[in-house]
Amino acid sequence: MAPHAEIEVAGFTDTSSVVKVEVNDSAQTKISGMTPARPVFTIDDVLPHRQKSKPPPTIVAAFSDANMFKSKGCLEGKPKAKSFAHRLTAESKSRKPSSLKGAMKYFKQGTISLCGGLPSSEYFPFEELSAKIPTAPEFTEAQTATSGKSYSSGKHDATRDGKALLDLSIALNYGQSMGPGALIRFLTEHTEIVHSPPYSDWDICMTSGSTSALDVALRMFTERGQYVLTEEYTFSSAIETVVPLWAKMLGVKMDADGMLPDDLDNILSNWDEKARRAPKPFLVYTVPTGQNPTASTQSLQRRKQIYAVAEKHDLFILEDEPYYFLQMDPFVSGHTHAVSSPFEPVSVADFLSNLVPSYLSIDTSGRVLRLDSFSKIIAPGSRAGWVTGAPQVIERFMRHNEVSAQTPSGFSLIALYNLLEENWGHKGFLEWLMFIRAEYTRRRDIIVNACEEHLPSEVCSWVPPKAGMFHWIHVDLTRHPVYKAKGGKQIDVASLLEIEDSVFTSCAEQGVLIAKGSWFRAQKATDTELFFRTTFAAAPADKMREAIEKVGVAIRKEFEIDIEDEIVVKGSTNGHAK
Amino acid sequence: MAPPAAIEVLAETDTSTFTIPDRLTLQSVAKRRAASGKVNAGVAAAADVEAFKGATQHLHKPKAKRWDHRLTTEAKARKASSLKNAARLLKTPGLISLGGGLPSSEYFPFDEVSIKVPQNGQFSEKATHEHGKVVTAGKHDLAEDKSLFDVATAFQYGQGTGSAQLLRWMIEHTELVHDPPYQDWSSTMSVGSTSATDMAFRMFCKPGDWVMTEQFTFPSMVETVRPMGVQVAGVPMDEYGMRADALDELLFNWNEAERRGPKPFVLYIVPTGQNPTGATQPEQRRRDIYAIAQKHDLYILEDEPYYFLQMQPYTGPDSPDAPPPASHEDFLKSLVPSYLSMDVDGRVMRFDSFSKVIAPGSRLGWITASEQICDRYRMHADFSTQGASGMSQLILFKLLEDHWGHEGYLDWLIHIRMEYTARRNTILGACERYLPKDIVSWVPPMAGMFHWLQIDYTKHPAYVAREKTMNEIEDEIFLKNVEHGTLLMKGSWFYGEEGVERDVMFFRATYAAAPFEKIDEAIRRFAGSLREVFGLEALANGSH
Repeated sequence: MAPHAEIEVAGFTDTSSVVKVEVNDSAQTKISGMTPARPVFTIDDVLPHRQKSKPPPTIVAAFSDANMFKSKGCLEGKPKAKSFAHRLTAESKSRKPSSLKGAMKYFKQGTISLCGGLPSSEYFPFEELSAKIPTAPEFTEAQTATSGKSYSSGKHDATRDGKALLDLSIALNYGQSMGPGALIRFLTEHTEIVHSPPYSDWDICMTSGSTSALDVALRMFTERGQYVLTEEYTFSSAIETVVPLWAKMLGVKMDADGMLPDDLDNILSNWDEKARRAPKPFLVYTVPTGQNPTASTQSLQRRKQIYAVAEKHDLFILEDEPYYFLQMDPFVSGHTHAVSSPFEPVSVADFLSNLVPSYLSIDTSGRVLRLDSFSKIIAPGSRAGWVTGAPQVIERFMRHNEVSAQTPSGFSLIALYNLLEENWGHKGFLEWLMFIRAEYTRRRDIIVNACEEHLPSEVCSWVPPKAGMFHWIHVDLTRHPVYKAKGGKQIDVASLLEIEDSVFTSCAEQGVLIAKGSWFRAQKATDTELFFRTTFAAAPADKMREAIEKVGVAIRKEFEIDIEDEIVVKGSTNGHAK
Repeated sequence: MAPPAAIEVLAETDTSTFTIPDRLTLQSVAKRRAASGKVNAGVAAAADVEAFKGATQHLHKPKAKRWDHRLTTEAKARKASSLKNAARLLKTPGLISLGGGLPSSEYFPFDEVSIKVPQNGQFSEKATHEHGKVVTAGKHDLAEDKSLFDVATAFQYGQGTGSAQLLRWMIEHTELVHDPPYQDWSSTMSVGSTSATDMAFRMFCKPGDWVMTEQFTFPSMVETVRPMGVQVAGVPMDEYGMRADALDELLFNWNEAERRGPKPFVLYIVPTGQNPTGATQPEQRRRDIYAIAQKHDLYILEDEPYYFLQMQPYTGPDSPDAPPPASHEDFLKSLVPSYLSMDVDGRVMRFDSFSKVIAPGSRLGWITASEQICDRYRMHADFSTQGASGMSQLILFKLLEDHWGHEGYLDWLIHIRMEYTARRNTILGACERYLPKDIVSWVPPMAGMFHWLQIDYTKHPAYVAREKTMNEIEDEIFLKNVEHGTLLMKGSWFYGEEGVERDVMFFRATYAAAPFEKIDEAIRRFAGSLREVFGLEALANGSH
């Protein structure tokens, strides 16, 4: 895949960071050649930009937004987002700003407020919060234990002592629902560095994790009876979130590159409201990178095609990207990529140029709400993430958050602030992501090689994952005794689910837990093929191999495959038999 | 002033509850824990609420009623997460999971987390700064048998109930304070009561429904339900909060055609230190309202962020302060009993929050209700909030369980009670000193953060001359306050029900946050503003 034009430019500026060259528009036009240049914001531009700009506010419950922190190039020469008011639900449209917050505009120097119900930080029983965190690039658990540094936040570091941008008296009090200014600034810069959205007025709101963000987004865009378009196999929790809202998931066909634009277009172009008993859908929920459960990763070309369909049918896209930074090096059969020790990060430019560009980065209309999460790249327990999208959509999102989850936990905010802002900075954060990428590449290699070794190749097939945490294994039902017994007739859903359960149970009996493909079916009981999802995210290498071997035993048993015969077959074909 | 009736009544009835032999006490917590065995504390472990409650502790109590007829289709349609169901298998020893999408804790960039917190009994900010204790949670404390909770477990995905470790503490606390009188009560963690009420309304209300609440109410509550297509019916109040007779009357006279909605059954109340009125329902009022709830088969949402901001009796401007509670038992006895403590039917969902007693930024609280309701809530949480931040859970666990324990926490609550008492006394002293009493009147708040001041607008010359309406005078006072450099909330911002004629005017002042001398100054300015608006003489002692 060709690297993303903008990122190439970024690559140039970044590698030259030793001798910093100010990049102006003409220089960029030259570098990017054919592509008309947009001003590009790199990690080297962060400091000079900060020095020229206002710092984030350091008072309790201060308002902030992305515009306060965007670079000039981000704001100028780009169109504004379109309005998507016609897509919002009645619930979302009817939200009003808090009437009490209106009172605060009367606050001026010297005023004593007896207004808000914010408690005094005097009564927060925390004087200091410290976390021992890794120094880039010494990222391993063992290194963190020995060479990690403790970062502390005191109660009044920002508000009284002026030595930080966030402290416990701010983070542990009520706050604005977008999150504290110091983190909004970091995330705004991060968004410019990684995505550089092609419209000017995008905004950011922190979330209490993407599960919560998805619940909010669905309530913003889904009326009862509507369909939500998604991959035919999708994150089971997304289905389980949609169903109680009286909405339905409609699966779009997929291949190894994820959702198929033709099928999406077909569904929409031929939508029959009467037959479907539902209005033509407009909401697409997609996990473009390392999709859960299939691990498929949409290429840039695929994303552009889907975006074009979205433009044609005026769709709104929820781009859920927990695994975006878990994009891996290509799989090479029989090889396990090692993680260098000590870890040696590549250049930021190289890393960024290897990432498939996001929908956000090609979103000229502002029809994408991107969901980012710290769960897979920092820790799920942070219950923190952020959404990026058009200002109108973000504003509605904030109104919803104000009366539900409010903000992420202040302890999480402080921990993230110390990690990202005080310790790592953008470079350290991106290097951490490189480390995670290397670790997941190694883990992916272990599981896929184990599958090559232990699974019966005559029934099992897969595409080595390019991203994410999952390995999706297809099992050929036409090789099952039931299929043969039925004289080659398509296996019905009930039998399929029985076979699936039998393999699942037989794995569990051997002490291995895997996930059934049917759990992820967007429309229940429409399965025609058999899949299992395995994850390589957590188990140690030897355990992963042991588990896959047992999965092999379970599948052979179910499919009545004689291991003796098979070794001969395997040995003659790929040389990986033991 | 005489101590409020509620506290007197409570003292009598409550002493007897402590003689019930099997009620959990501070002294018997350890015994209960020993009997219920080791906490299943691994990654995403399901909490064994039954064990935390003591297997045989509540068997003599009736079971909760079922609420199928009250739950929305959304709530009823919820199923347990298929993935989290599979996680139950994780308890199998030696199991290798390639199932869940849980990242390895190897990649959590945190080796340890420490907090510096007050030593038991030395709670002031200064004492904590000077000799607070540093409490540390390591990454693998659990595996290393150093603690029940650690970074690796807390920072991982968890169950919608919240972690077993902290939930056990919450259940014990709930039993120590409330001892719900039915068998199958349960608790589950929330990400704060704002989120919990949002979820509760979605569990019980559908578009076109009405909910009932105090006639003056927290605007966020209204802003939460209205976008759901739900209307708010305000129930008249007196100085003791919602009036039971008015509630009965509202329900008895409910006219579906006129109201364009079915007879309501959801009652949202803030019984203690109500926002904005500061009113606290005495025990008898609660019993009366509970009886009405039984009569009309209501479901009660008991939102209690200020429950532990119940203060010492107000003794008046020049009298000595009442002595602090002498023991933990005295302290617990001094609290007005909760709805939960009298809920024989299981018709109450109680919201507890750490926001007002620990810190709002914890974004962590818990609900207590019947198992059926807790199950529905938990399934909703699995697909929305997931559960409170693991960082919050771990830090609160270290503070409440590993450091303070139940006793230390009660000591902290007594400290907070004394602090709020001093703050409340400051604002009341200032009001006595500065405010023109023929225009302003108030009831000394017994709990919470708010002082609710009634203004007799009929004394305004422009009102007498029929030149200004009540609302215009309210606005005039608000803007005059701004001019004088003080901000108070307009009472009209707290109307729950739309389109109802009003003939009373209030302002809300909070004494929760401003330094003591500033509270005094703000009230002095407010007095000056009122005198100006009402055309009164300035006070001789310098109040404008």
